[in-house]
Amino acid sequence: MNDLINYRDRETVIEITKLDKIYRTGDLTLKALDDVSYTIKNGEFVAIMGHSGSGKSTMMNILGCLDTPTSGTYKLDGIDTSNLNNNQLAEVRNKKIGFVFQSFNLLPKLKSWENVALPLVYSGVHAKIRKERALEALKSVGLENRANHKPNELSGGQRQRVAIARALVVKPEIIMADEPTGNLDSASEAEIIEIFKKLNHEGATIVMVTHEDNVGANCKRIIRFHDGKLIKNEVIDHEFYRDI
Amino acid sequence: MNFIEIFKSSIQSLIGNKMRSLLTMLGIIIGISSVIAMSAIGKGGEDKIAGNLANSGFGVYEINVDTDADEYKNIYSLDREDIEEVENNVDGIKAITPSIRERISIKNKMGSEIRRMALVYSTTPDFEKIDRVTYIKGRPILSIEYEEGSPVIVIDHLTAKKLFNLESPLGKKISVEFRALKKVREFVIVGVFQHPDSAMNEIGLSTMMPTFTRIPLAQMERIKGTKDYETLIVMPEDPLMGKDVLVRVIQQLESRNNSNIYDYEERIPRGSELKNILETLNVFILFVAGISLFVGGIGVMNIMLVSVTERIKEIGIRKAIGAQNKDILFQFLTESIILSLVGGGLGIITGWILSYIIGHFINITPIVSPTIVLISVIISTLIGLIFGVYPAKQASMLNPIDALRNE
Repeated sequence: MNDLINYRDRETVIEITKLDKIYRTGDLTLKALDDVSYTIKNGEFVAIMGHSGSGKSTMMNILGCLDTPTSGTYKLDGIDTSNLNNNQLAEVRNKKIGFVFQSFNLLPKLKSWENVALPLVYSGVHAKIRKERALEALKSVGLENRANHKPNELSGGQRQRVAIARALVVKPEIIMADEPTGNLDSASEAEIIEIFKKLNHEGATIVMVTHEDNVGANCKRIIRFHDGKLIKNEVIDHEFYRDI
Repeated sequence: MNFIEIFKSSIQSLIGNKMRSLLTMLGIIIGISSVIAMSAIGKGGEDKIAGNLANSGFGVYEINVDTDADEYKNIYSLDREDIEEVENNVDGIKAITPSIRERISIKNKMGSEIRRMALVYSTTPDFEKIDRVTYIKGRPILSIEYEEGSPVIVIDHLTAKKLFNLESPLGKKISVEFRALKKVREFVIVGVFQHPDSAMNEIGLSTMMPTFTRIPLAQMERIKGTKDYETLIVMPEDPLMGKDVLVRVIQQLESRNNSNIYDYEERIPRGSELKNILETLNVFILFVAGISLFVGGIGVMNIMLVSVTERIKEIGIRKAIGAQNKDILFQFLTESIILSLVGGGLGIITGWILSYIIGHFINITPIVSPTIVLISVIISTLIGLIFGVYPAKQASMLNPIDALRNE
């Protein structure tokens, strides 16, 4: 629906400038990210691809505010994250970012809706409203009838849908998905990809790390990493980027 | 995240691990219940023994004049002024009184003649404080009767029954023969007291009951024709400090009369040592219970550390979706406090029940003091707090990336 807006006019959600990440262990230094710059705008569906060791996971951790860069800047929704302390980073993760992990990362003792509502607990939302919003989020991934099931009573695909609902519930600026289909069979994989496409179509901005070309092919754009460097920026959905 | 949220989530997590939670609490339960049971039994036992001792004269001392000494009879041995002097100069005395005891035979004046052998004690207000009896008919001797040395007498209820059967003995006259002095006097009965040994008689332990009577000291002095005493009875305020008080009393008497013919003894030999032993035993029991509580605390810490290690992934997830360090810290701290508080509560109940079961078998009524219960609650909260801080701190400091990677 907002595909009609020109790409140029869209708001910038992520702005990465000259970003380095260097790991030091003793005398050894490893440049996990090397002079990376790019921007992601509202409504994009970007795949970050690369082989293992290419720096895509490091990129994901920094994008997700779980880690901080060694140098360079990362602005999320206009906030320069390099100046934030641990508690402020936690707040950014809580309010601006929705995570979807490869291994679902649901709490096994909580029911679906309680898992979905968990981020709202940490942002201080009232208990009644939490349940309403959790059920709403579960509905948007088609799991409203599994609200009282625990993770071990659900299939892999359903678990990942619960995780997506948990990412959606805070109405984040951006959804970060780290190999979301890595642990799923092909039927569930297709199901999850469809949900992401639907959410993106409804306006959600999504960044997805993957190493599978067929998964990446569903995105609007692919950013490829190799040895910590951004080597290729590949447009898939030419219609979306028609004005550049 | 507010306190209620943290509390709910802690409860949820503890209930999710019922078996482990229970095992963790076991240390605290054993520790607290032993504190409660031991102190209740200890206090009950102490009270029982102290009660028995008090009835049999625990904490009461007698000062005697050595009547075989050369100096005796040449000087005033013990008189009313000596007692006043001691009362004014020595602190910590609850009661001090002369004691004179005579063998008598008593005879009722009306109806069929009944004669009985008896013991008569001289009595004073202080004597009534030391050798307490319960008056069941009539009244004790009045202060005016003490002052005037009136010919009134109080007798034990068994003797009253033998002399007068069902008739009321009050106001009746009896004739009393002081056998050593070869004197006979008439007395009016004004009161009847419970025979001090009647409880033993009722359960058939004692068939030969001595007959007890009391008359005012001034009357006794008049009959004996002397105001010198051979025996003083002293009751210190603090039974455990008795010896110190008595030493000072003796010093006072010796310096006043310039003589060393005075000596003292406990009515119940080594009564104060017995009480000391009991108290030491109580302290020892509490010490042992304290160690078991400490071990229980270590157990809580141990399990909380295991729990942190087991839940690294959970901590990572919570942090990734926005939990701050303090949220994690409070969650784990609350869990350990709840664990030890619930353990403490169960310990109090268990200890309470245990003390009654033990008490039933060793025939002691346990006394669970509110102070000990309160202290137990405080201690178990503190255990949760102190031994929970380290694991909770560890949990809250985890790096979310490493935590998420943990499988």
